[in-house]
Amino acid sequence: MSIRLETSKRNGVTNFQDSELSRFQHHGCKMLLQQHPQARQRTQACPVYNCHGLTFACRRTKVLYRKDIDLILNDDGYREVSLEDVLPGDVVIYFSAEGDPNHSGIVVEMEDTLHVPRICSKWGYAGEFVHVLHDVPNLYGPRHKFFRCEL
Amino acid sequence: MTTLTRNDLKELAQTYMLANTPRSLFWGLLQCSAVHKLKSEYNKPELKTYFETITAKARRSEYVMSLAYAVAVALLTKDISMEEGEIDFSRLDWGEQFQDYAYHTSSSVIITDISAFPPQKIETSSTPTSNIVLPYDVNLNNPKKGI
Repeated sequence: MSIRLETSKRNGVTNFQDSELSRFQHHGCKMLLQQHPQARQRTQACPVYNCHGLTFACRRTKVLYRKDIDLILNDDGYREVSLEDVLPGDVVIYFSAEGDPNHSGIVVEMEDTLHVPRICSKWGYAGEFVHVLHDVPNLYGPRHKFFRCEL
Repeated sequence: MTTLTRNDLKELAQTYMLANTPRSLFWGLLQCSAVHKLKSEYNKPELKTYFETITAKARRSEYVMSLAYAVAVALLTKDISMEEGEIDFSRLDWGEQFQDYAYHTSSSVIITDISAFPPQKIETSSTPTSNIVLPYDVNLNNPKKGI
């Protein structure tokens, strides 16, 4: 099931809402916290939205495809910012070696001295986690870029 | 006979749980040890039968779903000569996307496979004076299709 989702230029964004959550997915957060003890779990597992849905669609649905991420970045006036210039509210997109945007999140805190951003992101079906930039499952990355919406 | 361990299945299930997009699931599963085992220990008909058995199950837990996707990845990346429609990947929500990713992956493999193109010697009078040897006839306007 999908919802009506558009960019600021009224271009449609393909999306998908899931509704079922299994016991494994529900309990998966505990397993992830064991692997990432520094990360803080913010919400329980949720099937409705994914990381890109959190970052670009206000947690309402899943955005799954690269073309839609590109469309949002272009239509909504996102420009890349360097690590030194990152501020809370900027977004980070993790890319695979092939350039696929495999994860994203919102910068919620920037440590001034070491320039280490703290990110709020959703890890697949699992819940939202607040974590430092590189403290994510191996599936995400290895590259990343920061963007700021300047409409 | 399968030699997948509990850890293999756990790795598959966790990859399935964490993947945010179909493409990240495809590439994530491709890195899993279970997929390497499936590709090395099963032939194509066995994988096909395995896939059809798994996806026929009414109850689909993460372990079943992630294993089904893993078998799909093994099938799609093991045999690039598979005919279209031979296996119904639409039994999985992201099965058709997986076919697309595998096609593009295998296409690039074929293009870089230089064994089909014997070295070609080209005479030239321009400098440098030695002959230039190209690895193959660079005519990629009509690349072969993988799947």
